[in-house]
Amino acid sequence: MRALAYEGRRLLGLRSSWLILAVTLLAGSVLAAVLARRAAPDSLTAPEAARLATAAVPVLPIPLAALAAGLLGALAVAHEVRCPGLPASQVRYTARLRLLLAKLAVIGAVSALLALVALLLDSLTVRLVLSRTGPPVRLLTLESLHTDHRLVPLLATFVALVVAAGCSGVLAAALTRSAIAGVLLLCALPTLIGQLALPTALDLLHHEGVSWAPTHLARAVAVVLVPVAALLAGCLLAQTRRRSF
Amino acid sequence: MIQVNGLTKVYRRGRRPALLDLGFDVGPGTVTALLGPQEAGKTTVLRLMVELERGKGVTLFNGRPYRLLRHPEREVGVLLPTAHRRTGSLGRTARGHLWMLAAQLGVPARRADELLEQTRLASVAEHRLRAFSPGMNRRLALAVALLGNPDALLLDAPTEGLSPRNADWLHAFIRAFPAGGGSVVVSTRSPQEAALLADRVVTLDEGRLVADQPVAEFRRTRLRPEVVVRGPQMARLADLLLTQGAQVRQDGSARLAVSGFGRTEIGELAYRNSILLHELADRVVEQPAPRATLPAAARPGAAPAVQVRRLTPLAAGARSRSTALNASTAFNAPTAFNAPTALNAPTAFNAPTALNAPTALNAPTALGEPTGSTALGASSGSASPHPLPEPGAPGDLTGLPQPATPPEPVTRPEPPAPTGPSASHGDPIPAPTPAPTPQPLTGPDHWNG
Repeated sequence: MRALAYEGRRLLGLRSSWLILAVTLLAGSVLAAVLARRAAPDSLTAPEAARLATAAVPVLPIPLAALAAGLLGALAVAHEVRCPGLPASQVRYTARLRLLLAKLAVIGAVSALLALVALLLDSLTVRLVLSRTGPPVRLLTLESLHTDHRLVPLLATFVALVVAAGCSGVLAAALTRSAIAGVLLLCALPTLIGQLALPTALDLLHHEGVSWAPTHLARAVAVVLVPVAALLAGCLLAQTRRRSF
Repeated sequence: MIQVNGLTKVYRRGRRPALLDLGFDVGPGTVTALLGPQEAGKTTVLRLMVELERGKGVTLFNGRPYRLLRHPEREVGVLLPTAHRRTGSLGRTARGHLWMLAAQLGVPARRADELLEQTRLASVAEHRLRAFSPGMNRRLALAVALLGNPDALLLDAPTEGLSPRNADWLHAFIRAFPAGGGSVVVSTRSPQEAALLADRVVTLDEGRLVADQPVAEFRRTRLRPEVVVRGPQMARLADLLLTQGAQVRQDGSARLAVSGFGRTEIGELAYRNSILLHELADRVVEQPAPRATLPAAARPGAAPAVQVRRLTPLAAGARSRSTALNASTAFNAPTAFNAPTALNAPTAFNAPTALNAPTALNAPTALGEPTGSTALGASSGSASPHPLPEPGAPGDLTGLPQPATPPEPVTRPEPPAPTGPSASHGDPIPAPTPAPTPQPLTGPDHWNG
């Protein structure tokens, strides 16, 4: 509980975290506006609408909000490395573990909030832009969610992705002890997961004829969860040999 | 109560250990100074004590090692420089920083505000740490260390790089802290500071314990008072002093450092032989620290550690005995104990001025600094407690208060030539100096006497 209070005060007392959040939201809505101008207003399919609302650019390996969440997480740990408030208090393993979990919880909550606000803001922007050029478009309203069942899991996956990116940022920075290395590792994670381990393992399972062979949703969950779990295990192991973050 | 047993640290296998089998006790209500030159292993000791580094040896705080303390921050306050030499994140305010850490310790925010008052940071509490000077940073770090209201304090070089004002404040704080039964371990490079602060001085050299002395013994063996004399006829005075049995060495171009004689006696001697003096001031110099001898086996590159351990205590013991002998011979003169007694006075925080010279009365200068520069400043400032002598009455110097002079009364009147007991009055006033100073006095010519 104390660690949670500390982490909350630490995160909210810094100007940089507010700055990162504001810049992310602003850049996300600008991106959404640009994308919406290029999109044809009358033929909005569900994936396209989701892409517009989450401001996903093919250049970035992960969505913008996820990147910001990862950056926040990486900075949260790098702060403990660079200027620890009470370095001698971090000597005990349990204290460090408590602090790490508190950071995961706080960053996860902030990331989820960030994802929701970004979704709202982006869809609002898209609606404004599209309604100016053509007929009013219903995007992310209750009716559209009811009519198209694929939209809800997509958006839920987006939120989960942002939260996972925040947690991965924390863990990657805790593993590498540096914010920059943590963010780089975070950006490389999707590629690593996609290229190396996950598809081969899943395909192997599938070919072996395992009955609980992954469906599409399970695959998505696995893509989000497996890197976080792997990083967490790595962190816990690495922390046993350390005396500070 | 802190018990340190056998702290040993070897950074690389086969190298000389950075710290070898160090042990000492810190009783409740006392201050212990870790004294040693740079690279002597002082910071390593403190880091090992709170187990920030891996090493051999056990440190017990009230009978428990640091990692097993239930609330370590409430029992031990630590001020250790981190690798990045910052107190906190630069964009945060001082109050925000303390509140954040108070939340981590479960201490009410009121305690943080109290500490801001106590460390004189209340007026700048809303400023960001980016704007903080080293002194303010150090005080903030001290406030952080005190957040949990600890019994013991570990301070690593707390006054290093601070202004004299801040250093004085810290000295006063450290002296006052044990009054509540707490114990303090403070590391320092300056013997004068160690003598000022500590009840017990542990001297380290190259990671080895070379002396563990109570402060009285430390002052007797490691600090030596001497008198600095300056004037145009120093060679003659040096001859005279040598025939009287004093130890004289040249200190700069026109100065002598005399040990074995008090200021009064030197002044009298100069007066009787009508030697002109421009400066006559006490100062304290440190004896060279006993060096840890490295046995041949422990030189870099070799080393079974067992052999080192057997040899070092013997060597250290022999060294400290020999220095003790030296010191006792040097202290035969009757006034030799001036400076130590001044140090013992209850107003120990003002002792730097008393130690330094009677001239530097309003300047809280660093200990043992040569008086020349500060004395000039003191004389020009109007706050000097000495009434400046009238230029027309150069002989009237007897009324000058001399805080650190020996108690023996001066029976004869002071000489007409200004044997000013202080450079502050002798030097910058050209009028009272009579005939025998025809030219500026900086040069080897005046050694001809």
